[in-house]
Amino acid sequence: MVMAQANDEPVSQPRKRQKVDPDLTARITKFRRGDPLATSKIPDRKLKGTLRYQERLANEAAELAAKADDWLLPSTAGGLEAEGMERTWRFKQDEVVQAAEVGAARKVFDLSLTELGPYSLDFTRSGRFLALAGRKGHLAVMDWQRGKLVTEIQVKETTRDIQFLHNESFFATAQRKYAYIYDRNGVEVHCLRDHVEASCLEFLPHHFLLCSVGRPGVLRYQDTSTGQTAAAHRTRLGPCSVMRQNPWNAVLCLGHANGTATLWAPNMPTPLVRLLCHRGPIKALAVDTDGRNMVTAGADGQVRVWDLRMLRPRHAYFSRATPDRLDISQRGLLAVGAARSIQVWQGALEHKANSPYMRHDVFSGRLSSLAFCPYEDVLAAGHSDGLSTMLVPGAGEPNYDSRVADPFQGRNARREQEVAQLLDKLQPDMIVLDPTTIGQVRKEPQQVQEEAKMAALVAQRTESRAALEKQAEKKKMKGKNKPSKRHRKKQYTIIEEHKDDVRMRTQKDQKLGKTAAVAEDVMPADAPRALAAFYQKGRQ
Amino acid sequence: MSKKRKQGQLGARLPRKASKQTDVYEAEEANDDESNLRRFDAVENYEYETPSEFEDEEIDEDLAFTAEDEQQFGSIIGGSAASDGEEASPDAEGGFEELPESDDEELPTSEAADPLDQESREDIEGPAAADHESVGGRSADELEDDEAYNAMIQAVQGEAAAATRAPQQQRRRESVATEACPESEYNVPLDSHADGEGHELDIRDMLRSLRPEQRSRMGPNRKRLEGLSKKGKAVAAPLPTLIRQRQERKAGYEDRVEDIAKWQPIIKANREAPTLTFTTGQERAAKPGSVAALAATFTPDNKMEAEIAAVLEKAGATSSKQVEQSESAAALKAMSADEAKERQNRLAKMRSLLLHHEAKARRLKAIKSKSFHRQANRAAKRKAAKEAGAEGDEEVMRGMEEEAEFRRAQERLTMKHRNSSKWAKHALRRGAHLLDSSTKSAVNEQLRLGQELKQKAERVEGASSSSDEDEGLASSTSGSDGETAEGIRADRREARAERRRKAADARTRRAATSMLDGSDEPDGEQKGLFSLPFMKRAMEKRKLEAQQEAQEVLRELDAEEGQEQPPSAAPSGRMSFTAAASSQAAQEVTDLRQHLQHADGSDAEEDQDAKHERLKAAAAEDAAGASSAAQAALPDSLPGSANLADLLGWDDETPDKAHVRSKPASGKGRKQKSKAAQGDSGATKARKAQEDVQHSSVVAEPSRAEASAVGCLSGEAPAGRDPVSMDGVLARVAAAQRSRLFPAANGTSSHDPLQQQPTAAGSAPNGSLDFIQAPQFSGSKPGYAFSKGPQGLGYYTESSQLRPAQPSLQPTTSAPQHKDGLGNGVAAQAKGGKGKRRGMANGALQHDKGLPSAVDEGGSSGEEDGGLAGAMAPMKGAEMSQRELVAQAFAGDDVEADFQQMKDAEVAEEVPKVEEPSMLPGWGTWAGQQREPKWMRDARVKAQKEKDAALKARKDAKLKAVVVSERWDKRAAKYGTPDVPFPFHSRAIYDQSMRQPIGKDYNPTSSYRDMTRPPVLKEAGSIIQPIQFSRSYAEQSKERGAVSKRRKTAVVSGGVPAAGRR
Repeated sequence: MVMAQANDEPVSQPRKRQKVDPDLTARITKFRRGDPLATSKIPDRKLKGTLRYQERLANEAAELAAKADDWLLPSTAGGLEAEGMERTWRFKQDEVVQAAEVGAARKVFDLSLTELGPYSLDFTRSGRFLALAGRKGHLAVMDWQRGKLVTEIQVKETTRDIQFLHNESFFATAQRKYAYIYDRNGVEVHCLRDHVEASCLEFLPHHFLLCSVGRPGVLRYQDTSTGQTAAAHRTRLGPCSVMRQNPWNAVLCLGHANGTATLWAPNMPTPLVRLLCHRGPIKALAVDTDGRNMVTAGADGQVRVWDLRMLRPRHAYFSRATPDRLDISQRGLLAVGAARSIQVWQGALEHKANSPYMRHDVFSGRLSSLAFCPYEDVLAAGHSDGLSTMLVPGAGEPNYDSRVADPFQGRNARREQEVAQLLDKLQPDMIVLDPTTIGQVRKEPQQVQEEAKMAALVAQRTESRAALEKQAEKKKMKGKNKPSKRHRKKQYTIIEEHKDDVRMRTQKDQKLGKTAAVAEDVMPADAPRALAAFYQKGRQ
Repeated sequence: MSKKRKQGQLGARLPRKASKQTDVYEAEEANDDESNLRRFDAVENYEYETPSEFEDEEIDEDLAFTAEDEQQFGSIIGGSAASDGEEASPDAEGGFEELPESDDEELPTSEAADPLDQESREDIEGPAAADHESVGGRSADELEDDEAYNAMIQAVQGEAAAATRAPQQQRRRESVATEACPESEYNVPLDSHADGEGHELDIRDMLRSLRPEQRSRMGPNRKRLEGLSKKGKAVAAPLPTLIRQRQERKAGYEDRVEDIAKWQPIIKANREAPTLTFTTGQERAAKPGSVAALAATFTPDNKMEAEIAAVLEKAGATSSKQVEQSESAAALKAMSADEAKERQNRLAKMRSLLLHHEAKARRLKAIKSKSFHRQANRAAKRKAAKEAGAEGDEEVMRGMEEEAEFRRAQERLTMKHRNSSKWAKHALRRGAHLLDSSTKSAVNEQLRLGQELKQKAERVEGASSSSDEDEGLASSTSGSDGETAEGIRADRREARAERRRKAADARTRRAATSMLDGSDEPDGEQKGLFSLPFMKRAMEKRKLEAQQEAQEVLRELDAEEGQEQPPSAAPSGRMSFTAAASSQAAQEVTDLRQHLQHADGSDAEEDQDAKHERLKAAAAEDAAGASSAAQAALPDSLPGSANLADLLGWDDETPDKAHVRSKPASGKGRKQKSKAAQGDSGATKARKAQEDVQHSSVVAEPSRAEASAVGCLSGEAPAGRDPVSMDGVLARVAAAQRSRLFPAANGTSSHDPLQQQPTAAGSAPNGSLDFIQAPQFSGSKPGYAFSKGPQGLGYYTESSQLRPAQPSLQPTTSAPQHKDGLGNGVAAQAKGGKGKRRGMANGALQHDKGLPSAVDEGGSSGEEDGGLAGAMAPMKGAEMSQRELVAQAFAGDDVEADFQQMKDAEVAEEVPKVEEPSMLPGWGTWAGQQREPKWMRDARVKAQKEKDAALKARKDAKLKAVVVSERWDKRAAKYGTPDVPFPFHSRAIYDQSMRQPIGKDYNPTSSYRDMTRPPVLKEAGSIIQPIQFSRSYAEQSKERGAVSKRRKTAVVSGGVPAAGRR
């Protein structure tokens, strides 16, 4: 067995790089955003110049990024490599742990918490903190890599799900009747009475929206920065306990009992997309980081992979034991949990894989949740007897961007990031199925155009009517300011409701009349000269 | 003053003599021309005011107009004594005012009379002439030419009048200087500017018009005038003001254009610059560099400074260097000789230390970090990969060839590698110790080059000899032709196999002999790890073993050649064996058994490794065609060995080759070693395993069993993991495996009723592919592979299922399942091996028609499917039964129909409503009308069409299991634009121009700054001056046209754009 070690050491940059990398251009294409703009056909020369300059800057940006790529992204992802007749899925966790470096080996542990029921868990976006929620009300937040418990409380109530908000200082729980928000000290900050009997929670970090769905089957969006409810949609598909967000476009994916999955945005009261995925109820659902693939697991024993951009199914896997937990890592590894065994599949999304990458059984109990830790090669599984972690080499992104998520963030950095996050917050309106359409031309449907026109017309009419009413009261006077003159003056400035029609009519008349007049005005050849005066000059 | 006035007043009535001289171009003058006046009225005496005796004389100013005169003419003049200079017109022209007055009165009438003619006349004669004639009220046909004029007069007035006129005219002409045409500004000879010659009026012309007596009267003056005319021309008349001014304007314009054009590049560059930066310009002022620089330029100004400088000079302290020198001299002076020496030594030591450190630092600097090497390696790898990718490129290859050719030629010319050049010889003669390092390295380089080339030449030789051999073999077999197609094909196959075998034998023989005589050993001392003593010992040991083996191989090969048999013989039935071989085989089997027993023990790992090694060696030898002792363990003739090799993943040969190898018919007299000897052990084992199988209640899927067999062999069965009883499966699998390995044993000793060996042999006697001719392609059939092979278009039994059935160990529970497959024996056999095509066979049970069909059932048949009973696997045909079960379980709720219903409802809601006419009795129709009117029908059809089009245009029109909402998102609409914004014309260009994000998070910092820099930057306190001209900037910006060269900011300081900065 060979463990390809993840490489984390910083790179010292040589002082000068005289030689340009021969395949720099190949790497530049990685940083290009779309095809270059063809400016040669633009008639407007000023625009052409501006766009060419923009293009130049874009090219420069791509080149710089490609040049910095080698140095700014020094670490490469690890992985398991089988030699000869070995198969990676046969490696046991303890073998993997033995082969792994000390730091990585320390990340594998089992927490035996047998009393407070199956555990659900959530990682912060940087992967440093872990929140645990036992079904019987045991809540805990821990700095899991350092083995430090941040807070631990017992709410003495059924707790179905737990979710961190924008950072580790707040977390939300879905409890017996309502959802609650606690701070890092375990103090209850809010009771969200709108979120009734929620069974799962999701937090959209760019929009600051806490979303919940549960037994009533109502999907709620609550803005955690303003406290307002952004939207509440009735799914009309009964109780729902499967929800995941698509990190690419912040669309929520719900799995229902009738085998359909629905995609939702706050703007629309109906689902953006409905997909019939399984014959039985959907048991679990996961979306990858790029938002390209969605994986669903149904009670019919199938695991299906969907292409979310084309909305087409890719392929399916079959499982004898019904898989009821799914998660996809940052680098596209798929974890499937069934009963107490976990399988991890590599490259199983884009293409159909033949065998799993790794497998592992939790020491006891039944799986209740699966979560890959961001920026770590660790998969955490909550089960009825506590929590287990396993090493999955190559699962996490090896290089982190401290602007996005910094595992080594201090207090000041956290504060600054909080402010930056709030400043960069996106509005709930901006959640659409294809975010690339934002800022682009959107052709309104004809119906909408007509409606808008009508609305404008109505507004104008009411305005002009109001103006008429206002000037209806008269004063009897003589001279320059007498009512009739004042009226005439006002009429001159008022935009009449029919003015548009009149203008259009006159324009039309002119158009028609002009040709007619021309036809009339041409002086016939045999007309006597004496009649020339009757034909207008210059119209011949 | 008074004289002037008099002149003016008189001038109005007097013939123009004096005034003509003063003002040639006077417009009104023509009116008073005597000749014209005269011809109007012949009777009147025009000269009534100028008596014949009148002579113009110089009148004294004082006498010009006395009081007496005033008394006499006061009434006429009108200007009484009271009139003074102010009222009178100041210049001579004032006197002509009266005439225009009369013109004013009369012109309208004349014009009214004949407006058209008036115009034409004016064209010819000018307005003056026209005026004049109209005064006379006569016909205006007159021309200036005398003849024409006379002719006309005669024609109009008759001969008499002409007679009376003629003498008068003649007389007048004598007294008045004539001119070619009436003087006026309109009669300026037009081409006088152009060439001048002949047209310009000069003195000679004037003199010519004088009569001889007048000429003689002129006397000497005439000569002078003529001389004058010869000497120089008269000054050209100035151009008319209008034309002159126009020319001036033109010249001025051109000048300005030139002046302004120089600004153009600057203005253009400023307009095109993405950012203009206004700075104060202070930063451009030269700043003093350092204190030393300041001191260097210091010159004493005043007296005190001069004094100080002198003192310093005297003390030898003008510069720091001087100070240093003097100080060291003083110190030396203060020291004793010993001390001085010691100091010098110390300094020398310091210096040498410094030098050493420097060298060390240089060396350290040259050492690169690990990460650097990693980067470099990565780059190199990338480059190599790229080159490998470009290998196919012909151009590149040719270029490389050319380059190589060139280098070769160069090498031949210089003979650098021989050290035979004059320089090299000289250098060598001088001796290495005398050479400096660079020469030494150069010589060494040459030597190295020679060595390399020599090595290369040797290598090439060896390679060419071996390739010759191969070619010879190939050519020897490729000549057989001219038989029937079938025969040829068979022959070819035979020949190929034969050739391959021979080649392999030859290779083996060669290897063996080389091993024996030790020529395969690498020359020279071993280095590194291999030079360690224990490694040496181990290698020695190995070598001995290898040699022994080689001897055996050789012996066997010899024996084989001796008893070479025709390939058609050699049935697979009975086999002979030697005692040694059988004992070895028995050993092998016990090994395997042990291994299987320790299947999940981790301590078996080492054994397993060793075994792996051994098995691998055996397989390799087998492939080489050598019938070594090790082959006994895995005899070729045994079915299943290929499978094992497959499973173990060693077999990298083509299936064809494997097939050839396993064919007993092509046994070539190799010893077929039966397993009778191990019959007892194998059989007991098999029986035991079978019992296990029968005990186990779970039906094991053969495919799964196979996969877990892999697990068993590698010593890591997933036993104990699976909640489903794994032990039974394991045992079964082990048994199956063994049965594959030793079917002969099973066949002889086990009494299994399910034994199917004979049928298997009957259907595929030699394990070759069964071919079924296909009239036309009808898709894949279960158990067969569609192929276009040597026998034409048809099906073969799938190569992956070529393994003969495991008759004795087939679990009883799975036996009936086979029967519902194809009745064909071959197919049954194939299915017996895998049983995984069952689902495909009963396709009627396929339930996946409604759900998306991207799922390729049974498409990918990997050698392993996870091997985990309860876990996820790629969907295959084998799972069909399970899926049936699931389908049955969910049969009650027809999910698909529900979904379709919901989709229809949703789509109907979203599709735009089209108004359809509906039949309302009594409306739009006559009472009692039976049929629907045509307009209604048409409208309905049209509505339907529109609806269909709308449905077809939906995104989910072709996606059966998907509903995509197409409701207009009003709230998100504000983040787009309904129309393309102003300067853009095309939507595509606009959309594409918005594709690059400009945020900090998406761009490198410098790019981000470039992208977001405002169009104008102004330094605090900088005054924005009007722009000034800078030649260098203008030239630079003229050159810099392309966008790629344009700079991102244009700096303007104090009104001057900076040229050099970017």
